[in-house]
Amino acid sequence: MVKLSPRVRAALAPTLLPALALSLCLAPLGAGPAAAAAGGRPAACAGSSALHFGTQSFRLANGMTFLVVERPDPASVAAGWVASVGSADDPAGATGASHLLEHMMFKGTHTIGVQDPNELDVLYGRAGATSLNAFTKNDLTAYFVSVPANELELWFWLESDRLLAPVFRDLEGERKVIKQERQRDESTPRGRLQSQFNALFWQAQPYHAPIFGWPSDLAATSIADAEHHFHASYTAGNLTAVLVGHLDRARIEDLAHRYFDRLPAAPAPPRTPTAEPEQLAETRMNAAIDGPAELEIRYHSVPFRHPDSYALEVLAGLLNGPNGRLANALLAAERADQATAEQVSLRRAGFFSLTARARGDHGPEGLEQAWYGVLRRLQEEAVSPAELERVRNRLAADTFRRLREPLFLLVQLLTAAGLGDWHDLDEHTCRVAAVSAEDIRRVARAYFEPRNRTVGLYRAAGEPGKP
Amino acid sequence: MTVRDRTARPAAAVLAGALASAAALAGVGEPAVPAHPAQLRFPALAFNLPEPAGLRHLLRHGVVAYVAEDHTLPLVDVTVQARIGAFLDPPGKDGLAALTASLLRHGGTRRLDAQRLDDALEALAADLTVDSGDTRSSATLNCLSAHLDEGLGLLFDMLAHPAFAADRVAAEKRRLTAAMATRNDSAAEILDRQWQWLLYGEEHVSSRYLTGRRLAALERQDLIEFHARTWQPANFVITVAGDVEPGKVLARLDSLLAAWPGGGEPVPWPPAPASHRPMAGLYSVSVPAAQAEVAIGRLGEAWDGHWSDPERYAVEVLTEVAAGNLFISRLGRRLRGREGLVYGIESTSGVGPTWPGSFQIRFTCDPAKVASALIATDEELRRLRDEPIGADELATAKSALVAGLTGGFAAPRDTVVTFAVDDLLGWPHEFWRGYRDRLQAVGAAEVRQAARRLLNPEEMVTLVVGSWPATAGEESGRLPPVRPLPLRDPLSLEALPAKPLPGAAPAPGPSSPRS
Repeated sequence: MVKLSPRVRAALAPTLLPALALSLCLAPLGAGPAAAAAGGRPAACAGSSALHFGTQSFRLANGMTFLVVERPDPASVAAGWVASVGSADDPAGATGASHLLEHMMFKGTHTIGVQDPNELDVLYGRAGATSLNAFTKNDLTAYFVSVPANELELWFWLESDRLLAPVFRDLEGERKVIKQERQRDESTPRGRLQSQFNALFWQAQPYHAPIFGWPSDLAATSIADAEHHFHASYTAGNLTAVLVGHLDRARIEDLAHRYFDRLPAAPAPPRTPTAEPEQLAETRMNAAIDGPAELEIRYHSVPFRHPDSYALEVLAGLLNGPNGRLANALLAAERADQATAEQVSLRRAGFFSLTARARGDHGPEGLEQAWYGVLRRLQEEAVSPAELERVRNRLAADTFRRLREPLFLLVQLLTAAGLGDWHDLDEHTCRVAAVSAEDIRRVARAYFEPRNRTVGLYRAAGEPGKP
Repeated sequence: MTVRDRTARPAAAVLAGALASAAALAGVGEPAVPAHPAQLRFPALAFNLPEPAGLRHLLRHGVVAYVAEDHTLPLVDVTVQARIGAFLDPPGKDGLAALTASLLRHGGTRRLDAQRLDDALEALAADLTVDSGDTRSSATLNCLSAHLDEGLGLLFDMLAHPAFAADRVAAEKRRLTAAMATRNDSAAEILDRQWQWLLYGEEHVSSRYLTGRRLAALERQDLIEFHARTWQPANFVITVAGDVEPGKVLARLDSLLAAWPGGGEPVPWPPAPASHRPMAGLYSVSVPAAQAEVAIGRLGEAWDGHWSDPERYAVEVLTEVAAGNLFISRLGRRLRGREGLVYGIESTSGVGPTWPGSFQIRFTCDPAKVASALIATDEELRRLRDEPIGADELATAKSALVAGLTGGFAAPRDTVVTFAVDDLLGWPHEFWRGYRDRLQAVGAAEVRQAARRLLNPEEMVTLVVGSWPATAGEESGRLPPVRPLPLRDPLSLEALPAKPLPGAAPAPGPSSPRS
């Protein structure tokens, strides 16, 4: 039987993620309501489309939230929970603690894993559960699995047990696994330089450190550090569970109370108040890589749920795709063989990124200048109604496509909940449909000033004729 | 896309009332939470495979269509599955089926040139793709249900009236040439090709990779003739799944087929079987790469006559026990868990359509640890031959395989494609219906018997691609002799002269040579 790629408990860099949150609200495609003023809520999204999407929520007395989504697959349930804590919440001197904690959460409890360190995997495996996995991002840590529908109670048992009393065994073994994980992550030509570029971009935000942590911190983090981080941040008020499948709501509530009411009541922990100061000057990084030249430019933009995040997403949509503006300006001109734009909306802040890989012997400078040309047009000329409609249609259809697989839907709900507001999944399509040509021009002017950018130039070291 | 390996990723499962009966556990007076999950009791997972007959329809020209409703999202998937693939490439025209498929999609139609077709699809936010493999090709449309009529119009315009525009043919050939040039950049890709050659020989239909010379031999007229001969309703099975009314979509398909100029002739079937006999042994291709790619395995069975063979199911269990799950399989526990030799490891087994499938264990590894990992793997395979597996391992493997069965039928769009492929390849739907019973009949003795035959060390092929054996590590003395294989020129696939590796440096630095 062919396997999917082996399970990897992963630290996900934000740029590797799909769009953070999506929606099912059935806005009229291509005929969106008139542009909402920045900060306003488009009329079509008011009151939300939770009925369309079918997400039901309830909260336990201890503060833990449950989301339930009905899907027709009768054989399995996609189940998971998210802690709204990620690498940005790592304690000083213990960067990487959230990710290490994620790995340690698979090591058992007072009941599980006493004899066999892999007992959690064994129990899920024997039940026929699949896709048991977890990931850590800047702002959240999520754990998920697909369980046969008749054995859903096993999920309640095992997950509440590991939240009640985890036992962190074999720290050294996991440190090695994480080291390998980082090496794999860095195996692309630009991979080893990503941490440095990221640290250059963020001046003050805790997004500055890699999700894996700085190597010296990872080497020094102790079991006590992990336990402290667990007790401080995996509080009931900071947790959201999500279940997707053919479910009986009353039974889910009953199981939720029976198993998760056992967690002590506690609110979400306070977050560091540090805000990113305004960037006052352009920053540049010059690097040499093995392979064709590459370019990354990042601009400080806006966080998750900010009204402009939707316009920036549409702007990225205009740039991407086979008929997008990057294809026309960079790919068709044979300067690049790959170019992608993305708005990344994190909890505390966000950024807009442009990445491109040069074709053949072209250097990164030509790509950089071509991008500024693309940008200038966006700042000066209004996007045509046809082009805007095409992109909004595409974003809506892609949204639906990503919601087809229960596990994908689960991960998106966990992500939105972990970032602080699962309702974004319901409202997203409405918000995107409400973006106007004027919004595009406004955000193109507001966020893309030269002093607001960090430019990474990656020159091909092995190019013939170069030192 | 490849359909070389028939895998058990099956059709639709319908669970009846499993949830309701589980509520019995919450009875008054019982302990609220059992002390250990072993005390939980679950009802059986009752599921029924959907009946193909209820989804199957006969259209114009004798075309079969499977249609399944699913109104969860406002989307529709339409696929045209076709008995077309590399097995139909004429002598001297290797790669023709694949190039035809690619230009079918990107060469425009008589009504719409390539750019206008893309624009029309983009305006609908529709996805349209064409894939081609060894024995099967497919065209897939995914669109919003509101746009289904227009989408189907574009799909059939493309299938029936492709233009194969000369400039697009030239552009695709340039793209393929550029893609071939980077073939040796990835150790995993090098391993895939070399593995194929070791197991099936270089002349087999599944091994005849594109080269610059083969590509140059393909001309626009070849594509036109190949399309006219093969891309015909006589070779199609159509699937529709999603937010549709079956009656409406069937009527629309029928009228589109009615407008098709004739139904065409069925292609010759089945393809010739393989004749190559692999040579067992330890092989290596030396390339500078930070991580070595490793494969261990052998030829398996052909589908024909074997789908109901009990040993087939024992082999599936064995494959699952060996390295099916990274965390609880024999090899996963030892190589990753206990010894930290690999980050990931997996095992697969498949049944070929008319030629043997293959059994393979695959991992990625620090070059210095390859020898230790090979020795550990060898010891674990020997244990599987010499000792019966435990009852727990057997049960866990079966659970995983049943989950694969139900997962494969989770969505109607999976179900209809599974049934369509059965029809094309001439495989009986009975396979899915009897799968669980045949699987449950497997015991530890059958698994051990399968291991003795399948994992015979005299027949195993091992291939390492990476900075190896230059950095063979201390245990390399315990390995059999290594037979070095040359790296191939990426464009011609002819052997390159051997080049010394840049010392033991695993990561190619700025000064390392790039071929």
